[in-house]
Amino acid sequence: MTRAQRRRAFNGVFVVLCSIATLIALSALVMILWTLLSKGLGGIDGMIFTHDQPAPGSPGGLRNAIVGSLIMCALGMAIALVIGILAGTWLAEYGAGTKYGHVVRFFNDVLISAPSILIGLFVYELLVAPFHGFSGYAGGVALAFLATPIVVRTTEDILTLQPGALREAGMALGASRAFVIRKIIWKSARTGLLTAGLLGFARISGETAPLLFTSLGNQFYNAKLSQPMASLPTTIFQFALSAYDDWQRLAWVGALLIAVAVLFINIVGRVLAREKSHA
Amino acid sequence: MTDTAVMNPPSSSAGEEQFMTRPEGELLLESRDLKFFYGANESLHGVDLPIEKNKITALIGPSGCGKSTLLRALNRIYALYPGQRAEGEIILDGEDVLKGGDPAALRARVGMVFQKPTPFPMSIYDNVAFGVRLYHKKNKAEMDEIVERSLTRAALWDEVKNKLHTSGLGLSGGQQQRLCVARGIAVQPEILLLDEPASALDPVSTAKLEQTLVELKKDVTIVIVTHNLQQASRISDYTGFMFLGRMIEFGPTAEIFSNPRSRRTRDYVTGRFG
Amino acid sequence: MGAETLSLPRRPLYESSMDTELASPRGAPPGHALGEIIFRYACAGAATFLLAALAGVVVSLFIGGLPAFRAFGFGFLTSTTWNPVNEVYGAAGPIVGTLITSFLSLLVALPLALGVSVFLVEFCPVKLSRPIAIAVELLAGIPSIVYGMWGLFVLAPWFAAHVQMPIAMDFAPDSLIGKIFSGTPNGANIFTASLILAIMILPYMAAVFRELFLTVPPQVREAAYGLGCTPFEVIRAVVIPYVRRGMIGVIMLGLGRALGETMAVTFIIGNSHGFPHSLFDSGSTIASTVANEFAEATSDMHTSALIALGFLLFVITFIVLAVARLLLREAKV
Repeated sequence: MTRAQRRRAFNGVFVVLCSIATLIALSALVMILWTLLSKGLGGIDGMIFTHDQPAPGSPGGLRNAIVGSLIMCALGMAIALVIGILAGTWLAEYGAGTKYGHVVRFFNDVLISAPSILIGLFVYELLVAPFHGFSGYAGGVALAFLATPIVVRTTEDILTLQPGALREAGMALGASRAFVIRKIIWKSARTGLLTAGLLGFARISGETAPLLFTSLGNQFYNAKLSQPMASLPTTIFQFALSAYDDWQRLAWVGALLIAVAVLFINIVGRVLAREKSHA
Repeated sequence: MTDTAVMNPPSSSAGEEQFMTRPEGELLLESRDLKFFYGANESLHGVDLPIEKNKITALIGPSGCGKSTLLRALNRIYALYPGQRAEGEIILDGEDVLKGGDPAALRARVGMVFQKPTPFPMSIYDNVAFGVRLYHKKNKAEMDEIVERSLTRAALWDEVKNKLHTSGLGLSGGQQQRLCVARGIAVQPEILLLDEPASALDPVSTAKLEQTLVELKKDVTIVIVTHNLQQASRISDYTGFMFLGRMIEFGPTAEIFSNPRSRRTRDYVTGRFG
Repeated sequence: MGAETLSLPRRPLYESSMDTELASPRGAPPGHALGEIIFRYACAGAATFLLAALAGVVVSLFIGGLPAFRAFGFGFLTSTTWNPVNEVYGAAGPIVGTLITSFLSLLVALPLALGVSVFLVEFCPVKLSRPIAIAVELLAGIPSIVYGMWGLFVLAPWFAAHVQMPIAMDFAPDSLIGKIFSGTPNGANIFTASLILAIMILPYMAAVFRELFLTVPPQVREAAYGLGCTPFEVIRAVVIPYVRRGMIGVIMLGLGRALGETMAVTFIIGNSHGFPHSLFDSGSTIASTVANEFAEATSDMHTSALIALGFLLFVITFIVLAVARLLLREAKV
């Protein structure tokens, strides 16, 4: 073989290998989605949204788990948005270029990928052990800890993109820096901030580990944050590992619901981002 | 001057002779011995700039001469950035505003329009009203009149009067810049600073903008930085030529362009360098 | 200072019956000075709160685990005994399980992630690149519990039936192959757990690899192509050296995620506390142990041992992630 032929051959093999890798990844996705759809859709009936989780062998639904998830995610996002947007604003506006800013940004990045179960342990020590009880508050706070770093990062990225001249123009009229940030910069970055919230929400809606020992779970309907609260992920966890067929069926339905919700949020985020770039 | 001297420009303007013809009328703003530092770098070396009331003063000079730096010192907008500082005096109506006084209040009296149009993400009406609302409580009728007046004087009213509550971002580049002018004059500043306001605009919009400025000078003193020599000679009453951080020559525009006293000025306005 | 300066009478600019003349300001806009201070401190406070939270995690994990550390000393790290009944705890099993599954998953995921990202950047037909990139992102967004369920109900039975059974039937238990691949044929072992982990970290690594590759200036790649290099040679000789530091960062990011992943692993790792004796033996990771046992921990020492495990996991992942972020920061991703 000539040298040129050999080089071409190597390249050809390489292309094939890369394509195979892509095919493997895609088929993994297809397989998982297929399983979700076939097992999850088959289990959906009218009671999913109207009935609470049943004892094994009885009919029931996932209402308490869905409601619990919604409540705790809302609490978590509320906290995460406030702290995250403020912190991200600080990083982009006041702390940019400072040493302290570098430190905060670095540790925030580490927090983004930190194991979620450790956050659960921390919130347990903070909010469960001292009060001798699992609660929806603890679950919501744990979720907030997970969502905040994402909101911070996205907020900082989006605010840094705003043109400096916009800030100067506001201050050139006599406004203070805070006023310019709140009335002009945040307004200009509206869509990006919304995306930050959506990304955070997508992340925490599927999180299980931090809820395992903060909100614990509740087989009955409970909307009170001060009590243990059911959530879709914890219920799925319990049902999937059980030996009961109908519980396992419900677990698949729950998994499908979560996957669809996360998918939906991602699509909305994309559409928003595209609209903004066309505006 | 031989061509070799033009081909090898100096790295410092120290030692250049400076020619100042001070304006005869009443001065509104004056900088005295103004120095400016980016960190440890001194980029303005003791600049004197006299601004006569109700006239248009142009600052010209090659890139890097410090004309924008000088402009941005006049309303202390540089204070946004740590590491930038100014020394000397800036006298506005008898008071030194560089050291004392609130920068925010100064900026309500000394307005600025930037090179790139920067409409705020709000309606045209709210854009113009923004600065006014910072300081004054006006009822709707009063604010309506202020907005209409400002847009009229910026030569934009006819084009936007039917869409005042649409977003300012929907205007063309030239319209956006005139919106920024309207926004700047709505607060009735004594001086309006413009930093190369037409460099991002097409010739038609530029002509409209220049016309606006000439009419505005009856009420607002104007200082404009421009790299367009024809523009400076068209609209300004006084011109200052800067080079490497120093004011080399200052005087009536006609003199600067037709009979400059400094060699350096003559080489610049005749296009031998720059 | 400042309020008393800057006051002078204004010449009215228009004759008007309304009060549209604007008096000269005497200071900052009303309320702004205070507003600036409050807002600035609120923002800085939020940023500091983040750091405080991180510090809080470390401190609380350490304090919670202290009783276990004190009781078992260094042996905690080396003993494989995990006996809640006798109150004897040793972390070696979960630690080893964590390390093995993470490295195995990295071994599988790395070539796949590289292949996918190179495919997307170099070979993919333009029309397909967007859908495929979105598909990869979707894979990354699937919650880990879904992976866990898929692993338990689909991968494990398939693995048991199509891999473990044939090996068990074809190779004697004493042979080398038999020893390496011995284990209960239920598909729940460290190998399958590593596979699931690999699928989980694959899309994330592929996405960041792709971003890294896109930071290579087009001129550099065009120069290489212009010299007649094949795509393979361009990647190998030009792109990869350009982003080498960043690539190591991505690898460590993937490792960091694998180390901390809980739900996907818990379903399928078999949950036994000792050392795994073979590739197909069941095991446990720190995360799976904590997830399984914490809510029903039988005693304070049990709880403390679990929190001590958490502390160890935190230290490991923190180091890995910090190094990863440092490397990636240099590569400007």
